[in-house]
Amino acid sequence: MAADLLLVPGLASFRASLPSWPVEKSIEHLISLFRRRQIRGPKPCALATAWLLRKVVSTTRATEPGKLILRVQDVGKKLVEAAPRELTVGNIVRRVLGAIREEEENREADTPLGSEPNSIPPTPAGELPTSFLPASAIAPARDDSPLGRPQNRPALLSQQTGGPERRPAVTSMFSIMAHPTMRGSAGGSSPIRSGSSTPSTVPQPPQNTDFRAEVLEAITEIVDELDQADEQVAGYALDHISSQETIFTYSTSPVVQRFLLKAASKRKFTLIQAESYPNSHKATHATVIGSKIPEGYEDLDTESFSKPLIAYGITVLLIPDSSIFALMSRANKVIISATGVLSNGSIVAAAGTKPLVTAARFHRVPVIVLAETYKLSPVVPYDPFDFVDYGDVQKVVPYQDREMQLGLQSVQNPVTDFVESEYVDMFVTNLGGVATGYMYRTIRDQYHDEDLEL
Amino acid sequence: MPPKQTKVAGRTKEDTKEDPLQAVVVADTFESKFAPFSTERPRCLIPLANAPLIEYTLEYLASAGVQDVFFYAGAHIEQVETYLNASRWMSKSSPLKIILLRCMATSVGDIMRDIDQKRLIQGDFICVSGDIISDFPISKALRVHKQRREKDKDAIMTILVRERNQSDHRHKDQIVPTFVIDPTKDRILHYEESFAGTAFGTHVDPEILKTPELDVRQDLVDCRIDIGTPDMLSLWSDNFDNQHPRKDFLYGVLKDYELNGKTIHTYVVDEHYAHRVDSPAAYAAITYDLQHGIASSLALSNNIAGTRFQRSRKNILKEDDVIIQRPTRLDHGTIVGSGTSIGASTSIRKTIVGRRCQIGKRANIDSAFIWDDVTIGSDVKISRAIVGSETFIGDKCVIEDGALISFGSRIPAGSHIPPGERVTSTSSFNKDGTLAKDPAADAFESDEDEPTYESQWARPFYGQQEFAESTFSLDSDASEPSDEISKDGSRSASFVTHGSEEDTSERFVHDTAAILVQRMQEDRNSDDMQSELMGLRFSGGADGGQVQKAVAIALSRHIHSEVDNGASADKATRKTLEQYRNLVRRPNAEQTIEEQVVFLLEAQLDLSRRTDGARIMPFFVKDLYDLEVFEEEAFTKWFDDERSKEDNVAATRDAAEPFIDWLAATDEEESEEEEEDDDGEED
Amino acid sequence: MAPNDQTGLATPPPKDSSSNFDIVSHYNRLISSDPSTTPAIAAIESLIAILSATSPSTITETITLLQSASTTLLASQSNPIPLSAGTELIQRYIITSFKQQPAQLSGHDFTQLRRQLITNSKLFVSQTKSARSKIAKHALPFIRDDSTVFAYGSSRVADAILSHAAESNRYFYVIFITSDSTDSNEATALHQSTKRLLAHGIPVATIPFPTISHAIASLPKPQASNVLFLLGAEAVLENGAAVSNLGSHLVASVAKANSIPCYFAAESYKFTRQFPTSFGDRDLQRMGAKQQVLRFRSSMDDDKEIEWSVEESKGGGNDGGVDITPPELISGLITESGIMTCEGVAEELIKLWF
Repeated sequence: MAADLLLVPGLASFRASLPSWPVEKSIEHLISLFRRRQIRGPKPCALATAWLLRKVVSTTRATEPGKLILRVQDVGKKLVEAAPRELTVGNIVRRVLGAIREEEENREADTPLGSEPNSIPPTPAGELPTSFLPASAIAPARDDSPLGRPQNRPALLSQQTGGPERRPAVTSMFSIMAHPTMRGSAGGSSPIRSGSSTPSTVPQPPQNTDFRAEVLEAITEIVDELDQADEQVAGYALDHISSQETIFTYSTSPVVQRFLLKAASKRKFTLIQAESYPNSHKATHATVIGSKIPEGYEDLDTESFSKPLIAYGITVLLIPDSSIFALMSRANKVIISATGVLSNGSIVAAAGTKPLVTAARFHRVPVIVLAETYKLSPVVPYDPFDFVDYGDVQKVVPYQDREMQLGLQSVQNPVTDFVESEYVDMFVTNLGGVATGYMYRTIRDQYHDEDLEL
Repeated sequence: MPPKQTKVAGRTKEDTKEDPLQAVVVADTFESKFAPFSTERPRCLIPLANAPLIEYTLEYLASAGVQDVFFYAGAHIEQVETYLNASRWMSKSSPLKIILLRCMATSVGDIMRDIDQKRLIQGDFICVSGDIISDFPISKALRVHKQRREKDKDAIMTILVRERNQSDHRHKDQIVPTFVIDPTKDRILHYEESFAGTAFGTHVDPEILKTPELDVRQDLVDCRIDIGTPDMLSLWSDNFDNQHPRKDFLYGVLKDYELNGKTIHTYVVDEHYAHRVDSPAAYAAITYDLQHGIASSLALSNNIAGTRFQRSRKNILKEDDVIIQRPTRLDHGTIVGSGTSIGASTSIRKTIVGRRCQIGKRANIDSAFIWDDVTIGSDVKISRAIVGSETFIGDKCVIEDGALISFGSRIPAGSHIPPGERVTSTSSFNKDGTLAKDPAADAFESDEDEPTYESQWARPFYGQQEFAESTFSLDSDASEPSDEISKDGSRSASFVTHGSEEDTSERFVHDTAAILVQRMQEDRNSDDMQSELMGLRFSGGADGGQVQKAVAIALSRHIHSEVDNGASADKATRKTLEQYRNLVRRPNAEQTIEEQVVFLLEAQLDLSRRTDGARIMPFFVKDLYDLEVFEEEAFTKWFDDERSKEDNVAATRDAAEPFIDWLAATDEEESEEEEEDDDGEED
Repeated sequence: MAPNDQTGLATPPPKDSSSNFDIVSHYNRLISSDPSTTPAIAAIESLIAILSATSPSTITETITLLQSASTTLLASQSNPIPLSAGTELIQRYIITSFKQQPAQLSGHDFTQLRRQLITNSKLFVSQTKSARSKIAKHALPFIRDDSTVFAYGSSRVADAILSHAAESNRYFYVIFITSDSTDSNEATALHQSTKRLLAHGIPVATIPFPTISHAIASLPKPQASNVLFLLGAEAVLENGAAVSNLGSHLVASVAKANSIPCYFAAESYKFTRQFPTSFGDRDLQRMGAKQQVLRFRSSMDDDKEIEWSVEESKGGGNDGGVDITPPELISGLITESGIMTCEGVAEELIKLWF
């Protein structure tokens, strides 16, 4: 069976092939896997991207972080193009770019000032002398770049300024004019980031012997974070689920299942679970009864299937999608997961989520969306259609029933829904609860502004 | 043609899972359904949604985890190899190791024997034709196959089939394979091919019927994705007569089970997409399937085949650098390739436009396939046509349903291409914009009353049927490995003999007659043939007159060949007509005298061409009378008909004169009663 | 619109008192001389001009000067909200500079600082214009092929967005909603944008204000799925509410009622630290706008002149009245630094002030 798994191109075979294949071939391979959707879903895509970028970083012979950035951007663009609706691919690329930029800044901060350790509220040292006269000279060249902000805000200033060059003097007219760019507090994110993945907490090495080693370490941390994200989100379960509540959920996902399991370990509640026909009803059924993983869902983590909620004495009502509206009135909360969260707090989630949240809104039931940080994407939803993914038509109309397919002109099977932010009351990420209105900030904090557009 | 069998021992021992997965691609299937395009370009390079077909097949192999590919290009080998060498598949980062192989092949069998000879295959391998589009994960089938092999070394092959959709129009006119399967083991016990619409009769070995459980299935579509073994290859090598992988090889191996003990199994693909682009109809249907994303992993917007489509809400896919003047109407289901420019006020619907095309203003294009580098002038109307690459279509041209414009054609301004017309780069045009008669194009010309696209598409199929029928007898497959439609000798001959106006009906008559003659030689009973005839008539869109004509010709030919073989004219005629009278006229069927006269005229015409025609004719008419097939009025009318007196046929008429005289003599007394009875109780 | 007074502005003599510098007329001249100048920028330029025209010698003196000048300027306008964004910004900047530079202040004289600021002023203005084109770039993905854009009010930013999209070979439909304002400037601006779009082959429709809902309902089917409203904001308040041409609130409500996204474009220097508690006259008045739309009359007042319409503007840069569009009607703000949510505005302002 193990050999079989390697034989079928997918996440496992990709991982196995990585060490031995040349990097270009691996890149092409992953692009093909994305295109053929042999790797799909937020987490597998994120993992594959991180693994590949680790390889790209370690094989790129770059002495300059700038070059490495270009290389990662180049690969990243190809990957995003191959999987335009897998938001996590772009997210991971941005995270890796951010890690490189941080190393770059550390180098730059060190270069002019020797090995002064980058202490916590540093007003970057080079700034004072330049603040006055050369400002106007620097400013025009710095179009989109990070902007200065008042120097009296140490809390928002940190070592992570992220600019490829030194920050311009605050006294530049331009910087004032352009003050409200969101650049300002990118550095402020470090205290609230999910933690270890932020290299800024890693002590600055005295010499920049090999910045790539630092970047690789950062990528490893990203991968670790991917693995722990569910568990971290689940850690907040007790804050959101009280005893005797009735929780409504839709479809199934590892993060929701863990979240509920965590709560179930301490509290008794009732769960109403809608099956999400036709794309994931089988997985939902399997989750409810705790049977083995159905075919096609091997990516889901085994643990969430092995321990059904009913084993903890939780009452679980499995309902067809048609009953969502009718039963919504009984619920205290809706808890669902998103496959992606966009810059304004809109979410991309399993098809059918929009009707679900519409029903929730009608009945004034609050909607809580679980979203691991790697799902937070700075992409702007210019066109909601861009985020709707389509699945096999056969799940709607059996392939044998071709007459019906032809008769209906074109049957389609969307697997994702775009849900505007106004339907979501609250997010729970690795960092804890986030109000929808503040989601944009949480998302920005994950990435460097230069990387918002790849 | 059953392969003589020798057991190949030991080779299977090396089958281990660590072997790289190998595949053999037979890019040329030695069929001819894509004429005239396939005469100039290899079929596997025909673009489907702006990517050559072969891209999809190789992509499929890559997605299945294949590592080594042995590639047989067949026809137009230079073009195929040039393409592949420049493609991503030959680059360093390609997931496939493609080995281009050449051999002198005139059939799939030759290729199989070649690969066996070269000893390239180590273990289980996948064998596909170069036109597969699928997302079926082969690993499951492979796992089943290997498990079976572990238990039983004689399970040499697994054939992937899928269930047919009842309304699947793309298979209506094709060969219907009949599988007799032991469902407990998925083992194929018997295999036979027949045609849609014909009654199926098969000769199943009584031994097989002793199997406790049997499925006889005609609802399976052969995906032409096989999992083979080295043993299978050596079976190919054992019999040089095996040409076709199904009709010859599969049939033969199953038949010789007693001798060689080898078994062949099926794997039924469900919930996945697996199709062959084996005909223009399938080409169209599959293109739309991919565009609609019937199988999400194959959706065109995934760009698996190296395209760069951007999807949009209305299911319009565009590549980059498309220049569209406004206002323009692009409707649901349109694909536009990169570098194409479209003029203002043009309306395009459900059409695939290739790369670097230029479309003028106010053009109206509906459900067409336009390949790369095509220039289309202003005010052009195109519907349901295929326009090959590098074609030039002048202003104000009208191209109607089902027209096929081959590579590099130049159609002057104001031309009118009637439905079903085939235009090639050598076609010439009259000043009034009609197509000048071109001997080459004539062969494909159709008449005006081709009613629908489907029947147009279907038309090549009955040619195909004849091909399949007559030919899996050996000589015809020994034709050039090109996709020439005229490879079948008898058919090309028919093109020469007949005038061009009635070509379509002539071809139907001719092909049908050929099939009937063959059936008669096989001594089939007339009921079977009757239903087969209905099928042929249906698929060819022929009318009753054409069928009658075909029957007349078939009968005369058959009688003639019997006579040639030494039978006496009277006995041969009597026997033939007794056996097949129902083809001429079913008992109690309504038939006008005029139809009967025409029938006689046709038979006369055909017999006149035969050396012994004049000898047979009297018996022919007499037996028809004696068997009460036709009323006597028909004979007299025929005899008096001007057409029967024409110079070239007059000899046969004269030969029948004694019969007519006799008829006239007896008629005097009996005529009145006879006529009343004839209508009622002819049997 | 016409400047009331232009005297004494040609060559501001270096005096040590601000009283001689007529900041209001300087501002008005700036506005009238360059139609692409926005009130906020003109206000900043005016304040910088007063800095160069006078020579305060201490920090306190400078700040006081700027404050009083700002107050004068704002008081002179019927709608000072857009200006206040600029005056606040420049004052904030100067204060911040002073706070940071105590050491240098002791060593350098004020003249040098002033010169520095004046130099940067020019840069500032040129950057303003690039901000507009950056906004146009950020907004481009909203305007897809075959989409329909409803535009309302004369906004330079919205106009720049549409022009940029047309120049980028997008094909879209534009529907200009005209207000019943008699302002000839607005009509001219509309006429010019229409001409520009038509030159690019973009179909343009102009509809009167009362027909918006009907026009939405009349959209042909293929267009109906791809519609957005695009408005320009004159100022953006702390909660993300947009101050814009009178009628914007209604337009945004119609958009919301039809589930059509409604975006406001605004350079981020238009963000102002005002927090509306409601969206009517009283809030505008609290922010300094002299506007009263709603006036009841009773039978007792028969002899008095009754006005229901917007009060005529008095020599300010704003012709018609304005209203406040609440943030829940706004799908997003298009700024030069990207697409922002309304919630983000407060944070940007906080970053400036604290």
